[in-house]
Amino acid sequence: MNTLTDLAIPITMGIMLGGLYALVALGLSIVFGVMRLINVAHGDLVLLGSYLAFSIMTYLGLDPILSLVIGIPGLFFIGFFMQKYLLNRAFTISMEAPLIIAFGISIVLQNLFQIVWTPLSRGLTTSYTLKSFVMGDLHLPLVYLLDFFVGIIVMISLHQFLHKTYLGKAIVAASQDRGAAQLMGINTKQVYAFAFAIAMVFAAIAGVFLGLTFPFTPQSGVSFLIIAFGVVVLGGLGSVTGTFIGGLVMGLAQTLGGYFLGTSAQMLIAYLIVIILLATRPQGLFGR
Amino acid sequence: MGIAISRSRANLISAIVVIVALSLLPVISVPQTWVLYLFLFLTYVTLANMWNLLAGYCGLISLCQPAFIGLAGYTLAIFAWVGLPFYLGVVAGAFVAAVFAVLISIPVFRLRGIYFAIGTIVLPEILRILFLMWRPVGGVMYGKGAGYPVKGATSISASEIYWLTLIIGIGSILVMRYILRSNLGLALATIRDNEGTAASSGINVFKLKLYSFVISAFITGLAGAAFYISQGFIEPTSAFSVQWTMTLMLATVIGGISIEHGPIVGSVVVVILHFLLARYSGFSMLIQGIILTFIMLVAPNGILGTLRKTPPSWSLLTMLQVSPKSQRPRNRGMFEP
Amino acid sequence: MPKKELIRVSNIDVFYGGLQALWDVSLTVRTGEIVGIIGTNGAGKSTLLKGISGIIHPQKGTIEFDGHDITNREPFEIVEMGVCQVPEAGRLFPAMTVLENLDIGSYNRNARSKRNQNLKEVFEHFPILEARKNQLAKTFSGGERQMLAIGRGLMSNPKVMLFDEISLGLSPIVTKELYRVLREIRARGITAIIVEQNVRRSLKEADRAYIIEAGRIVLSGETKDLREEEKIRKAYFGA
Repeated sequence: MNTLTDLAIPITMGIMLGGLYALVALGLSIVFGVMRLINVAHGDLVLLGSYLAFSIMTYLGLDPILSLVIGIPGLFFIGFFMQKYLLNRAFTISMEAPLIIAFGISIVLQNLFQIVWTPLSRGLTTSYTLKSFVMGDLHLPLVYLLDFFVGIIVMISLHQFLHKTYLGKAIVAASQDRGAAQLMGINTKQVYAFAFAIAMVFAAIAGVFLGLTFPFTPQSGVSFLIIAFGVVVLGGLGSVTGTFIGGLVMGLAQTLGGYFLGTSAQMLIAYLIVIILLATRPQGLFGR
Repeated sequence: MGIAISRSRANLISAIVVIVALSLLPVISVPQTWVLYLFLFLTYVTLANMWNLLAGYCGLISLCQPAFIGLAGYTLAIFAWVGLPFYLGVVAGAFVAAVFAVLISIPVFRLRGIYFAIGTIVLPEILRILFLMWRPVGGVMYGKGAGYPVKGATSISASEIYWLTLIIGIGSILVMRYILRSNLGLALATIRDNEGTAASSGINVFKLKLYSFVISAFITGLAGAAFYISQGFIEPTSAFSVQWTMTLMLATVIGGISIEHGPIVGSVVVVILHFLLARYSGFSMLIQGIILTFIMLVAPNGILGTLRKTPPSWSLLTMLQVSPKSQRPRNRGMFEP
Repeated sequence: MPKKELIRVSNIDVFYGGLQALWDVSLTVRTGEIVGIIGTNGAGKSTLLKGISGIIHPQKGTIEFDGHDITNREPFEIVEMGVCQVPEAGRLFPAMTVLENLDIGSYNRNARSKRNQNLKEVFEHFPILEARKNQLAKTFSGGERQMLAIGRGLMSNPKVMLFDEISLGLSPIVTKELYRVLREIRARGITAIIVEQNVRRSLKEADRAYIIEAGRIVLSGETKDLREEEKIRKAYFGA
C-alpha cells in the first residue's frame, strides 16, 4: 500500500508531463507527416527556444511565457527560412541529403549553445517554478500542471487549424498525397515552409515550458528528439489522440524511470521503450 | 628500351611506396605531432570507410558508430584492467562491437531510412547512460564518473599504436576494395539503387545489410579500441559522443560519399581542419557542422565526385578513378514527377 | 463563329524518368469542346496531361493556355488559371471525408469565394455525395470515387477539365452515368479533355480527338470523321 502512494506522485507527474511531451512531438510529427523528413535537429530547435527564453529573461527581465511574444515569431522565421533555403533544396539533391543536412544543423546548434551559453546547466526559474499545488493528498509541482494545460491547449488549437482553415487543410492534403495536393492548386513548396514554421512555433512553446520544468545543457536536445520520436512512433501520425497517449507514455517512462533509477538515468527507460517500439511496431500503435 | 608499366602496376607500386613511407615515419626523426596527426588520419580513414560502406553503399545512414567505438574501447579498458594483453583487447573489442551489431540488426533493419537513423541515434545514448551507471570491474579511479584508465597504456609506445592503426587503416581500405569488387559489392549496388527490385531478383537484402553492418562494426571497433589505447583513459560521454559521427560523416561527405576513395581524401581534409582549428577548440565542431551542411548543399558529391564530373586532366586523379558501376555518385531527388 | 483556342500545345518533347515519352506532340483545344486523347496503355496519354497540368515540364516546345505561356509554370499556378485535372483513379485524399475532399478542391484563390455555390452544383450532379458527405473517402467504391474526384475537380472553378481515364475499371452502367454528368458539365460551359483507352466511348463523347501511339500523335480530327477512318476501324474495332 505504501509503494502505491509513493508511486502516485511520479505517476501523476508523468501524466502531466505527457501533455508537454505531446507538444514537443507535434512539431516533429508535422514535419514528418508533411515532408517525410525526420528532422534530427528538432530537439536542438526546441532547446533553442529554451535558450532564447533564458536570454530574454536574463537581459530583458521578461517572464519566459511572456517572452514567447518574441520567441514565437523568432523561431517562426528561423524555421521558414531554414526550410526554404536549406531543407527544400536538400530534397532535390539526394535521398540522404535532408538527413545529413538536418544532422549538420543539429551539430551547429549544439555547439552554438555551448559557445554562447557555456556548458553550464541552465534553467528558467521564476516565482512560480518552485510553487506546488495540492491535489487530494499529493503535493505536485505547479509547472507540471502548466505543462499539461499548454499541451492540451496547443493540441486543440492545432486540430482546429488543420480542419477549419484552408492552409491547415492544405497541410493535411499535402501530407496524404503530395501530387494530388498540387493538382488542387496547392503550392506545396510554400505549404512545406509553413508547416515547418508552425512546427517551429510549437518548438518555441515547448522549449519555454521544458526550460521551466527541467534544467538544460547544450546536449539536452538529443533527449528531446528521442522523446518526441517516441511519442510520434507510439501515437502514429495524424492522430491527435495518439500523440496525446504517446506523450503520456513517454512522460510516465521518464518520471517512473527517475523514481527507480535516479535522475542521471531517468531517460533510460524512455529510450528503451523507443527501441522496443521501433523493433516491434514502427508504424505506431495508432498509426495509419 | 621503354618498359610499359600497366596502370594497375603503377597503382600498386605507388601504394607500396606510400605505405613504406608511412611505416618509416615514426622511426626517422619527424616531429611527434606529425605522427599524431597521421595517427588521427588513419583512424578517421578507417571510421569513414566503414561509415561509407553503410551510408554510401547500403543506404543506411548509421548514426550509431559511436556505439561500436565506445563498446570496443570499454572492452579494451576492461581487458587491460584484468591484465590481458592489449592486442587481445583490441580484437575482443571489435568482436563485442560486431556482436552488438548483430543483436540490434534485428530491430533496426526492419526500419526504413528515416526510422533507421533515429533508431541508431538512440543506441549510443542508451549505452552512454548504461556506462555512466555501471562499473563492471574495479573501483572508482578518477574521482567521479564512470571513466576507466587503460591500465598499462603508457607501456605501449606511440610508434606501436601508430603502426597498429596504420595496419587497421590499410586493412579498411583493402576491405572496401575487396567488397566493392566482389559479388557483395555488386549486390549492394543494386540494393542501393532500388531495394525492391533487388529483393525480387533474389537478393537477400537483410542478410547483405547485416554482413555490411557487422563488418562495419568490427573494423570500427578495431579503430576505436586502438584509439583508446592511445588516449589512455575512457569515459562514457566522450566515448559515445555524437562528435565521432560528425567527424566521420564529414570526412566521407567531403571526400565523396559512395566513392571508394572518398573517405581517404575526406580524412586528409578533416585532419588538416583539426590542425588548423586546434587552437579554437570551442569552434572546431561548429565549423565542421557548417561545412557539412554547406557541402551537402553546394557540392553533395564531395571533392572526388565533383571532380569526376569535370574530366580531370591530371594523371594522379585518373589513377584514383577506378570506378566500377557501384561507385557512381547518387543523385536522385526524393520526389520524382 | 470561330471558337477561341483555349489550349495550344506546340511540338513538345517530354521526358519522364530519364526516358523520352513524347515526341513533337501538338494539339489544340477550343472553348466549349470536348477533345479526346486516345491510345493504348503506355502510349503517353497521361504524360501529355501531366505536361499540360505542369507536373512535368517539356524539354522542347510550348504550351499555352488562354493566350498565356504555361510551359514552365508550377502546377498550382496552372490550377489557379483555370485548368483542373481529375487524375487517374481519382487520387482522393483517403483519410479525409467527402466534404473535406470537396473543400480542398476549392483551395485556389478563384474558387474560394464560390465554394458554397460550387458545392451546391456538385451535389446536384452527384446526389450520392451529399448523402455520404461525412464518410471517409477510402471507404468508397470505384465509381463513387470517380464521382468524388470529378466533384472535387468542379470545386476548383475550372475553365478546362482534364479527365484521366475516368472509366478505367468501371462497369458500363457507371461509365454511362459519369459521361452523362460530363455532358452536364459541358453544358455549363466547361471545356474538357478526356483521356480514354475505351475508343468507342471516346469517339462517341468527344467532338475532336487525337490518336497517340508510342509518344507520337498519329491521327487527329473530328470524331465523326475518325469513326469512319480505315485505320481505326482495323486497329481498334478489328473490322
